[in-house]
Amino acid sequence: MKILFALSLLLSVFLFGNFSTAQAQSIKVIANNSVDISEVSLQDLLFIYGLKNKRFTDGSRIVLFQFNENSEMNDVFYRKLGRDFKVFKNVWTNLQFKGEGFPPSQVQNQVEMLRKVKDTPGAIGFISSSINIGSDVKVLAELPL
Amino acid sequence: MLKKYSCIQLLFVLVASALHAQNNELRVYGFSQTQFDYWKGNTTVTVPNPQNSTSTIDLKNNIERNGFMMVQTNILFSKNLDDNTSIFVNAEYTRNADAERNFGSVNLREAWVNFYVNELLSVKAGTMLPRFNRLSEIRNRVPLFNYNYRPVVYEEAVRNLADGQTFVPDFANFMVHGKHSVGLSSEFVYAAYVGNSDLNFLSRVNSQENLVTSGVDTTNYILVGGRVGFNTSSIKFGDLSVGFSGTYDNKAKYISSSDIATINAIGVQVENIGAVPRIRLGYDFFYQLNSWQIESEGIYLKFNPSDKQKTQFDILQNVPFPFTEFTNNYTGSYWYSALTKSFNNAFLTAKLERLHADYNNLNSNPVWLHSYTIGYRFDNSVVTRFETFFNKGRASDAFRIDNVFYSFSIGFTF
Repeated sequence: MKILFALSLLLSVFLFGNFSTAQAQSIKVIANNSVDISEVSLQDLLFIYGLKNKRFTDGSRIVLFQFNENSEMNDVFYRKLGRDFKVFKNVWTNLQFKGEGFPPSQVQNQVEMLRKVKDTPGAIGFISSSINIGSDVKVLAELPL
Repeated sequence: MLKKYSCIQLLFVLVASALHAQNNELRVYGFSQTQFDYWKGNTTVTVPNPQNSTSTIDLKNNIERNGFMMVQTNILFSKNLDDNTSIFVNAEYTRNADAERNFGSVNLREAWVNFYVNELLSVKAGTMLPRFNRLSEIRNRVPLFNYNYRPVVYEEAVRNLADGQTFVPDFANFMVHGKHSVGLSSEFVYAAYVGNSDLNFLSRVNSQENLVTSGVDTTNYILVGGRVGFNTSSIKFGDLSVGFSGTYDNKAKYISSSDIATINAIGVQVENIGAVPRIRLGYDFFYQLNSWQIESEGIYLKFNPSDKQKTQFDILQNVPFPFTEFTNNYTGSYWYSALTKSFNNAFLTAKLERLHADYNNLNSNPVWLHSYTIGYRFDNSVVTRFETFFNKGRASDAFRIDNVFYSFSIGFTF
């Protein structure tokens, strides 16, 4: 099973390592299995990625992931939240300069996103629906393109 | 001088060691802005004619200056010590800071530790910018703004002229803050803090403050203040933030011993005024929808001198060489609004300001200022702006100004 999963990951890197919206039907919002919520709304995500909600209800920190600066995936995801990517970047910079928050950590591709969210307690990220995510992470929302 | 040198050396050591420690999540980042200014204008002051006491003469000063200036460079250090504790240090270099040549200044502007207890309560201790209105905490984050010249009560370049320190508190040292979420999209926030008043006897000894020495009890000059606010973010309706702020402290009103001696020598008995109670009240507003953004702040200021102090104020403004800072009007007000329209990475901003420092004879009439900026942000890390800033008005019957500033800046974050 593990070998199959690893092979599917390798295949994903080969096929979808660099995301293109043409290849996906939707974006899945994924979370580490330790996260004690089962779904999020767009409004929740706006607050979470806008760093207004930095913790879960139990007080533990939310760890956010996004793709690298030039990824089309970021633009698509943040536009689903009603804002341009640059608007989020402004908000993050503002909070960062006040010492009150940091931008989501960046990953290079879909496979790294899946691995980081799987391995990081409290992690939330997003990924193309065309990626096979298995059961190592939970899906909190699916945003149609 | 040596002290400044040591300070800079220490900062470089800190930066170097911090860079090596990035893996331990000590984050080092910052920002810088350099600006070219062209200033043309004139100031007219009406004074009594020394040859004819019943008439006045106008003293006109024409000004034309230009030059480059490093407005500000800040190096920030931030680290989460654990899940609930974080530290933040802000080292600030302003106005062409050069310790060797005594230009500008080097400050450890902020250094604090924050303890998160729960959503309703966090405790911050150290030295910090106080949470007063919206801009106070980010007043020196120059690349974030859509204009070169910040609102005048925050702008370091004119803070002495606009008496910014009187309108906006400078430091806080202990703050409790938190928020209460309302539904999925809104939150109430609050902050309450204490600190020293603007003349900070414990850490500054210069000019009028040399009446006392370091370590003198500051009980009379403690600042208390806070802000309550409401934030909401909606996918359809944009981002809204409103807040109300207030502070209470005592402003030290001292004149030098030699001035007192001079006044007493002409037969007028005067003594120092001392601590004058001061209240600041403020509101702030911010709204952003799609490519439009509007921001606004207002500050009302009131001194509450005792009857004895009022008598001293009256004496000081009626001596043959009146002290302009000591009038019997005890209020001031400040207001600004700015509207920004973005076009992808480019933006246009119009800003309007009104300053009325009625407690000061030089500003007994309101002064209006307006500016227009065109700017471009390169990938959010580099911003360039060109601003035309107009400042024309009759600050008082005796003081008239007519200035225009053209400035071009380049700022970046790292």
